[in-house]
Amino acid sequence: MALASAATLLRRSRVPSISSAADVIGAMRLGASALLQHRAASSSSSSSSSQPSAIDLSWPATLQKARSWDDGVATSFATSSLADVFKGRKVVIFGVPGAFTGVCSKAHVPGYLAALPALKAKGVDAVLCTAVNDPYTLHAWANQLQAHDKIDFYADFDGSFHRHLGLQFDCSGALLGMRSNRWAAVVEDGVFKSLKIEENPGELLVSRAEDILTSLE
Amino acid sequence: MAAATLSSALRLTGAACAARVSRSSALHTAAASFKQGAPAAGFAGTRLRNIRRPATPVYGQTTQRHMATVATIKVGDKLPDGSLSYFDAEGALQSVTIESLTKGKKVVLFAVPGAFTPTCSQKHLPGFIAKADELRAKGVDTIACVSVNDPFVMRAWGESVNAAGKVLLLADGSGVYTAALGASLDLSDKGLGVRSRRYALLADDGVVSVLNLEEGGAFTNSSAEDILKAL
Repeated sequence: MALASAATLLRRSRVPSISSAADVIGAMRLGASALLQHRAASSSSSSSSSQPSAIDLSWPATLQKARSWDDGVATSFATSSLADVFKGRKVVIFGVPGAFTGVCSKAHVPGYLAALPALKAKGVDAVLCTAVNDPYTLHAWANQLQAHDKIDFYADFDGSFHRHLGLQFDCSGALLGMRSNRWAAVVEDGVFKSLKIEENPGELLVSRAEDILTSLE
Repeated sequence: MAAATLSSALRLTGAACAARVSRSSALHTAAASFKQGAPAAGFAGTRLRNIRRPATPVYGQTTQRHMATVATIKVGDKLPDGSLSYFDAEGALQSVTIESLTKGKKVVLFAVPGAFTPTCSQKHLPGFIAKADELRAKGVDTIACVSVNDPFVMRAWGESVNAAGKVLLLADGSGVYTAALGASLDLSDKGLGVRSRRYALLADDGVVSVLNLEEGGAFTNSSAEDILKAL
């Protein structure tokens, strides 16, 4: 499983040009080391359990709502604090490795779009999507997916939000650099009611909308 | 060619990660020696001194450290070598070195601070797409756009402005090549992180013959028309 991570990540990101055995081995090596690095990073950055139990709303990280550049200028590039985003409401939030990449665009976001009515019926105030991209790229991506008015996209442009929660993942093997792992959570007033993190970001097994719906029951 | 360059790109990315964390100006020399198949172990050798690694690699932050130590590219300089990536017409991820892109050719290379930001999307890139045929008629072999974005974003951006066949969109995902040119620009206050200054240059056999380097993201002299005038 661990060895296949980078190869899978690359495949799902539509990189068909790996054809020789040497390349697969090279990708696997990177995948294994990336996965070990991720495991080491997540175990060292969290306390006792491997997953955070809550988002510290007083921690001074910021997220930026995905917006066009003109909106950015109009709001003086204002950022949203964690309290702005999470305090006093129940949200479903999912993180993707990168805008415009395969699994994120084709399956992950569309799944949440389709599940929106069901999620709202269960008392969820908002569905958020976050990625380590700048807010303008996220805005363009949200428009392309026609999700802009339905899901709130938040940009973690320097990766600090994900690193703080131990949810970062080294996607250098897919030439993406340090990004977010693929994950999904129900957060009520900053506390994780459920948190599902994929083994590696190329997969979409535990962080789908259906999984979150099940955990809301 | 595709398989070999991809595997080299994967190895190079590992080396690029090691190179990113160096504070010394030897990075410029190291960046100049980026070649296909250069072993990552070479960076542990004699060229780099005083390497300090942060506990975890930080997206974009490390290029800030060598902004002060690398001289900015100027007319008459040979372009430093480096590796950039892109998705080709068939959707395969490719990697290309500046050396192979510019050797024996007349190349226009221009850079934007960010894909999907207005001046870049509405004026700079479309300007070069519109003038591509005229530039080719004046002997330009390749027109390439560089941005500190990943190749997925560059592909999506290119599709949104119909750049196919006119301008090659190259991803300098970690900003390593931009730093090697001394053209890094910290746009963190705009939510962009460390990006590239806007510029347009003409390289003959890899040597810069025309350079229009903007302050920050301003758009005064780096358009396609300015390059056409200089040809």
